Amino acid sequence: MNIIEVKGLSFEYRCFDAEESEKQEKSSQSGQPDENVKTVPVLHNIDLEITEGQFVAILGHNGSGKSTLAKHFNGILTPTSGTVTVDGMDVSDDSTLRRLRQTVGMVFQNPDNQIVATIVEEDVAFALENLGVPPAEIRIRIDAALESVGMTKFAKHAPHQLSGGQKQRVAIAGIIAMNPKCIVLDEPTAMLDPKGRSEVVKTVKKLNAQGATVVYITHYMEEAALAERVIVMDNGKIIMDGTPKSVFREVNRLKEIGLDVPQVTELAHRLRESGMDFPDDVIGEEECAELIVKLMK
Amino acid sequence: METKVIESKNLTYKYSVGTPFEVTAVNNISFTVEKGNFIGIIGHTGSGKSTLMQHLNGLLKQTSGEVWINGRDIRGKGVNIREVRFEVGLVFQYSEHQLFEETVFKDIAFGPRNMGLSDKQIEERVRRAAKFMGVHDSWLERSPFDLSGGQKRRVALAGVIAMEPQILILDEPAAGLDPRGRDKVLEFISDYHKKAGITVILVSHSMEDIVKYAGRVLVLNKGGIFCYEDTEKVFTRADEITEIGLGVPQITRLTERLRSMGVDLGNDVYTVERATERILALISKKAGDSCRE
Repeated sequence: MNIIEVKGLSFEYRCFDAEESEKQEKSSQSGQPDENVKTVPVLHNIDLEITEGQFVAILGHNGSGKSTLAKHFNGILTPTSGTVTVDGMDVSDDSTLRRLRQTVGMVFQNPDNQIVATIVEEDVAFALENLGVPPAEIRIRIDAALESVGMTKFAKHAPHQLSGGQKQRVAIAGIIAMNPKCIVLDEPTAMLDPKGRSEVVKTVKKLNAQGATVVYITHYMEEAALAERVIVMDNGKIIMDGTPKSVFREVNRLKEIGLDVPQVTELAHRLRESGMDFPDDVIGEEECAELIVKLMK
Repeated sequence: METKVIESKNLTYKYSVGTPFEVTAVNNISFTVEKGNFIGIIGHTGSGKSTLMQHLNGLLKQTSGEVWINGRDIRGKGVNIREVRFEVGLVFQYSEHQLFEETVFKDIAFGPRNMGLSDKQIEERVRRAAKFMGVHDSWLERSPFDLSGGQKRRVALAGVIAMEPQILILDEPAAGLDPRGRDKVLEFISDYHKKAGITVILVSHSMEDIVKYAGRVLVLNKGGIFCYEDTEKVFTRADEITEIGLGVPQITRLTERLRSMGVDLGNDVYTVERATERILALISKKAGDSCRE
């Protein structure tokens, strides 16, 4: 079953020079178009279906539209034209917006922008309190959420005393606590060290194994290689969509649009170019090592 | 003789002293940096990287120990900390969040203006810094908020460079940028380092980036120094580095795996180029051997 359905989605940003954009927008509708208002098309006629329980990675250079697309999944942005339906709800429909936001949890790149409370466990409880979850239930959910991101011993700490990676895990715990069906993560590991990154990735994989649909935006090719499906965006369009193996084998095409491939894929590519008999769809360290050993025989 | 531009002597910093949350973030760290060096600092989150770098221009005051910049104790008598801050430029993570002016020009000019320079000098510095960071002339009169993420980052960097610090410290300057944006920003920094002859300290989680640009690496672990060595040497200790929660490049992990499977590419492989060379060399050697047999 599809949890996310995107049909003919186009989106354009309206840019204004001044803060009082609303007024200017109105004045521009009567008479001459205001110079201060310009539209910037970001997404062009996107069709996409994501099956429930899938782990989808989205790649694309900065400005390719991947974050804009992701922000449609819980109605932070709504389509300029076309439709986005999540779990049967049209994201443009205000009457189901609250339920939509409980269905799709978003985690952003910078944890400092996501933490609101002064104590870690209170921050994790924030959404639950807003949803009117009974206190006893909140307690259980906070403990479980902090446990799954490995932050239990920091429950009573102040977020500003945590490192960036720790804060990001608190932000993820806040989302997990809502038990959303779908989790959208927009470069959640961009600020983390390798250990923090692998902890977040493991947490995300675990949540996915427990049934959550995951949409994972990243610039780390090694992380994308762990997903079951990789979508590549460029100039507001989906240009590639398939298994990690089928996407990463197109080394030159990815490099042309400013992306990269995992180092082992790059190595395989170079060995092939040097005339070696080597497959072009290597994405894992283990398989790469075995193939090299075979080559030596 | 090389000149020491940074000397950290037994530097210790504790957060929240006297509360139950007291944490020693930096523990008795001593190291020196010589003029013109490009140093990489790596360490897991919470290892004290950011705390350490904030001492180097006096944003934080150490609990004990000393910081010497250009041969003087920055907390010593008669030292104006304001002057130290002009000598040591600090670029924070997500520096684009610090943009605030109406135009790119004004934003880059903010630092030089605070230094009390004349309008003519300011203009010169803005243009020079903009050029170094690949900020186009046509952007200068635009609002910085109309630029893309990578472009904003470069404007923010230009704002620090315009103060022409002798020491430039960058905390994750490429975090959150796509591969092309990352390469661009780091290339601009590396280019500036070479042309201006300044000292650069690059704090990064990305081993791949450190390997590419830094000559020496300071590895921090739990607030202390794990090692401070030439980049080439650091990765010969891949096992230990992985143990303290840091990653080595994927290609280095692959090399380790191959060694355990009986294929030895050497213990200094941290780029795809070198791995390719070594594999091809091994294969042709093998082919040669079997010919002779």
